[in-house]
Amino acid sequence: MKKLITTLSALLIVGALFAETGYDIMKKADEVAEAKTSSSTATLTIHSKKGSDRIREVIMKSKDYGDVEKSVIVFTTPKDVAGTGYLTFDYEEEDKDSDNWLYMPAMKKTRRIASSGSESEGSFMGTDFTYQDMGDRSLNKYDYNLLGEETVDGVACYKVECISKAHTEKDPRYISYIGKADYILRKCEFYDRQDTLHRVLTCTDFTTIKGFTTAQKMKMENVQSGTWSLIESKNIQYDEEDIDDSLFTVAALEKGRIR
Amino acid sequence: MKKLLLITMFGVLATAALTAEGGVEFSGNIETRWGVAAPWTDSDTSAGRFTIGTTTFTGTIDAYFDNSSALAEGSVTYDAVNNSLEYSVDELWLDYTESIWGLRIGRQKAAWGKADGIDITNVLCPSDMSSLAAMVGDDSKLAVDAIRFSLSGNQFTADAYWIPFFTSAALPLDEGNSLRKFVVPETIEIPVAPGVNLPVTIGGIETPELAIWNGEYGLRVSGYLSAFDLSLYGFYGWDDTPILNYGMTSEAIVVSGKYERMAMIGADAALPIGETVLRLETAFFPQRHFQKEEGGSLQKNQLSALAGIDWMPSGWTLTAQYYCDAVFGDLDELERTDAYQHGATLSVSKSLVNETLELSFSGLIGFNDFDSLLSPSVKYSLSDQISLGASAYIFLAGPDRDGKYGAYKDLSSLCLNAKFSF
Repeated sequence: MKKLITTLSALLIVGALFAETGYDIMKKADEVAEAKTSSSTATLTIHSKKGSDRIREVIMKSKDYGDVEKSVIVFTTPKDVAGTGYLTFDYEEEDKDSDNWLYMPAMKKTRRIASSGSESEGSFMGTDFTYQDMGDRSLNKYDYNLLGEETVDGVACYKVECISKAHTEKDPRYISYIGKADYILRKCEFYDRQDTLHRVLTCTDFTTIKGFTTAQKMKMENVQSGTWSLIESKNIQYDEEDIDDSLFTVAALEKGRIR
Repeated sequence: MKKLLLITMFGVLATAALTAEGGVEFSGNIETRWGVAAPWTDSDTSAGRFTIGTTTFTGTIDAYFDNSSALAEGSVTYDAVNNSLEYSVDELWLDYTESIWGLRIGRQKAAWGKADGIDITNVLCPSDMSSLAAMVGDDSKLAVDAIRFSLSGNQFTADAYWIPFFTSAALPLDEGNSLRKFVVPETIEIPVAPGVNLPVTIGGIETPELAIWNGEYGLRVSGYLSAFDLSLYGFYGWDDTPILNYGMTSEAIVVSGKYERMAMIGADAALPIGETVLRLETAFFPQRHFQKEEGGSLQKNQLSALAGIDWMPSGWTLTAQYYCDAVFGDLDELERTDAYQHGATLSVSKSLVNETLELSFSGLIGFNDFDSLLSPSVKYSLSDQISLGASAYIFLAGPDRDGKYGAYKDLSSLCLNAKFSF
C-alpha cells in the first residue's frame, strides 16, 4: 500500500513537473512551423443581421524573414474598393508593435495606420475581423491560464484563457482552443470588457500543404450583433516560389503590383 | 476630334481585352450628382436653383502581363445645369516595373503629401476648379502627361517625373459659369471715373509654349521605417493658375493671363504614436509669383505647413489638422492682404451596419476671417455595386469679411448622389 502511494505521489510530481501551462501551450502554438512564403486568394463573406451577404475577394501574400513577417492583402472585388491594399510588418521581437499601411486607390495615397490600441481593433474592411485579428498577437501582452481540455469538431484541444495585461482592449479576454496533437488553433472565444461573449472564431476545413496544416475556412461570428464574416482561402501556395521582396513595399501597393 | 480619339482609344483597348489571354480587366462606374442652392442663400440669384446636375460614366481598362501593364481611364459627363457634354482622358499610361526600377509613360495622376483635403506639397497634378461638382468631388485633380522613373528598395522609393506638356488648373472662365465671378469680377470700377463700372471680358490666357525647354520636373523620395514615414519633394514647373493682367477698351475691361514659373521643396512625415498617427507636412516656394491688385505679379517667398493627427477608435475615424501659410516681405501691392494665413480642419466619420452606412462630417475654418466650410454627409451602400448619398456643402462668411470660403456662401448646396460601380 505504501509502495502504491509512493508510486502515485511520484507520478503526480513528475506529471506536475512536465504538465504544460497555458503559456507553454500558447508559446508552442505561436511557434508552430509556418511556410516561409505563402500566397493565396480568399473570398470574404460579410453576413448582415438581416441575412444579406456582401462578398469581397482579396489576394494575400506573406513572407517570413525570421525577425519580421511581412504580409500584404489587396482587394480585387467589389470594384469600388478594388486596389485597396493593406501592408503589415509583424515583428518577432515581443514588445515591438507591427508596422501597418493602408493604400486607398481613389485618393492615390497611402495612410500609415497606428499599430496599437483601439485603431488596430477596428473592423477589417467591414468584416467582423479586426486589424489585430489579421496579424499575430504579441505573446507577452497576455496572462494565460489552462482551463482544461475540450473537443472541438472531433479534435482534442487545450482550452487556454488569455487575459490582456493592459485591460484596455475591446475584447480583453479570450479563450483559445488549441489542438493537443498539433498546437493549431481550432476555435477562439472573445469576451468584451463586461466579460460577455462577443465574438467566436471557428477554423474548419483543414488541409495539409507541404506539411503545413491550414484552415481553409475561418468564420468570425459576432454573437452580440448577429453578424458573421467568413474567410475562405483558395489557391494556397506554400514555398512555391521565392516571392519578390519588392512586393512587400508601399511602392508595390501604390503601383498596383500585387495581382 | 476629342470624341473620336476617346472612342478609338476604348475601341483599341476593348479589342485587346477580347483577344489577350487574361490579365485584362474592365471596370467603371456611373455616378449622378445633383445639388441645389440652400434656402438661406441669396433668394434673387441662388436659393432653390440647381448648382450641380452631373451624370458621369467612367470606364477603366487595366491590362497587365508580368512586369508590364497599361491603363486607360476616360469619362463622359453630361452637365444638366450647363446643358453640356464633356469628355476627358483621365489617365492613359503604360508601365514597366521590375523589382528595383520602373517606368511609367503617359497621362497619369499622383498625389503628394500627407495632408487631407489641403494641398501643401501636392503640386504635381493641377486642380479641377471648373465647377462646384468638380471641386467637391472625390477626385478633383487632373492628370499630367509625364514620364515617371522609379527606384525602389525595401524601405524607400524614389519617383522622378518629367512633364514635358504643361497642364493648367481647370478654371471656371466660361461665360455663364457660376464660379467665374470668383476668378474675375463681373464689373470693375474705372479708377479715373469713380462710379463708372465696365464689364469684364476674358482676353487670352497665355500658356507656356509647348517646347522642350518648358517642361516640369518633380522628385519624391520616400522612406518607410518602423518609427516613421518620411518623404522629401522637389518640383520645378509652372504655377497651375495664371497671373492676371487688366487692360481697358472703351467698352470693357479685358483680362488676360500668363502662367509663371514656380519651384517647391517640401517634406512630410507620418509618425505612429500609440493609438494615433501624427502627420506633418511643409513646403517652401522660393520667389513665387503673387497676383498684384492692379494686375501683374510680384515675387515673394512662401512657406506652407500642416500638422494633423489621425485617430481611428473602433469604427470611428477622427482627423484634425492645423495648416498655415506665410508670405514674406511687403504685401502692399498684392491682392493677398494677410501675410500669415491659417486655419484648421476637423473630420469625423463613423461606419455602421457592417460598413454599409457611413456618417461623416468635415469642417474647415479659416482663422484670419473666421469663414468656414461645413460638410455633413451620409452614404449608404444599397449593394456592393450601388451606393446612395446625401450631403451638404455650407459656406459661411466671417463676421467682418467673407474670407476665402465665405466668398462662396451663395453656392451653399444640398446634394444627392447615386453611384453604380462595376
